[in-house]
Amino acid sequence: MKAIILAGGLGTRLSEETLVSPKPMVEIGGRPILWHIMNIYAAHDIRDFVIACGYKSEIIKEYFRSFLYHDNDLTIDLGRGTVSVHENRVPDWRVMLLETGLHTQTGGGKSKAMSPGDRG
Amino acid sequence: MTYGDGVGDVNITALLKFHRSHGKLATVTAVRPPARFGALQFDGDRVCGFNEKPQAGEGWINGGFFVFEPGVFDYIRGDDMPLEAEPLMRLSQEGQLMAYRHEGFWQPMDTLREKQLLEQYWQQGKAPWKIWND
Repeated sequence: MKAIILAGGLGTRLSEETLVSPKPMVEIGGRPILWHIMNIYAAHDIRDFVIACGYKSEIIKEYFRSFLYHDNDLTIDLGRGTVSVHENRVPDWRVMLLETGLHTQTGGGKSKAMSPGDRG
Repeated sequence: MTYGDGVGDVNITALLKFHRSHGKLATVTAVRPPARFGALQFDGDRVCGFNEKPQAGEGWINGGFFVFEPGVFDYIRGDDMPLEAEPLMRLSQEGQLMAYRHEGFWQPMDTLREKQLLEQYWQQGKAPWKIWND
């Protein structure tokens, strides 16, 4: 079963925060609210996620792409160009990130995120 | 499916169990919107309760945390249709939308004030939506 999270909203009433990042990336306790929501699902054994992105989707994609680096201590060997992660503390989530468009708030985001046969 | 801007201690396992029990196409998690103001309780004119903000009682609203059968897909036409407009309205008119009532904590983050409130809960170690272990 997949959990679809609609993350395309602009969040205009949070403009002080959302000028730099999309609303689901606004942080609580140093973590995006999106991360909190995913943890709520994961606590109930749902770890397969579809994130329907819109506004500033690249920030959401970048966050997950470098998730490993955010959460762990690193050693970066500048000379060799290598990065090693000290301790691997990464949740066993599968995260699909879909471009659903700037103005795709809800319905379209879902229709794109949900292929027949899926339940979300 | 849920919105990327609201948290709650929704019992998703119970929500799914409820969804499977009724056999309809969709389930929405119904919540009571958090009260904006703390409530006073009276005994005559005497204040006997000076409350924190309760999870208020002004009706039930859409709290996200939906469960959809693949058939819901047929209700969504085109990318520009807000889910709340036609699809959910039609589902409800056709008796295909059921509500799972969540009585616990639920809080959207629509305003800076709400963001600060959530931050405050987290910093005090009292975040009710933190139902996971570190």
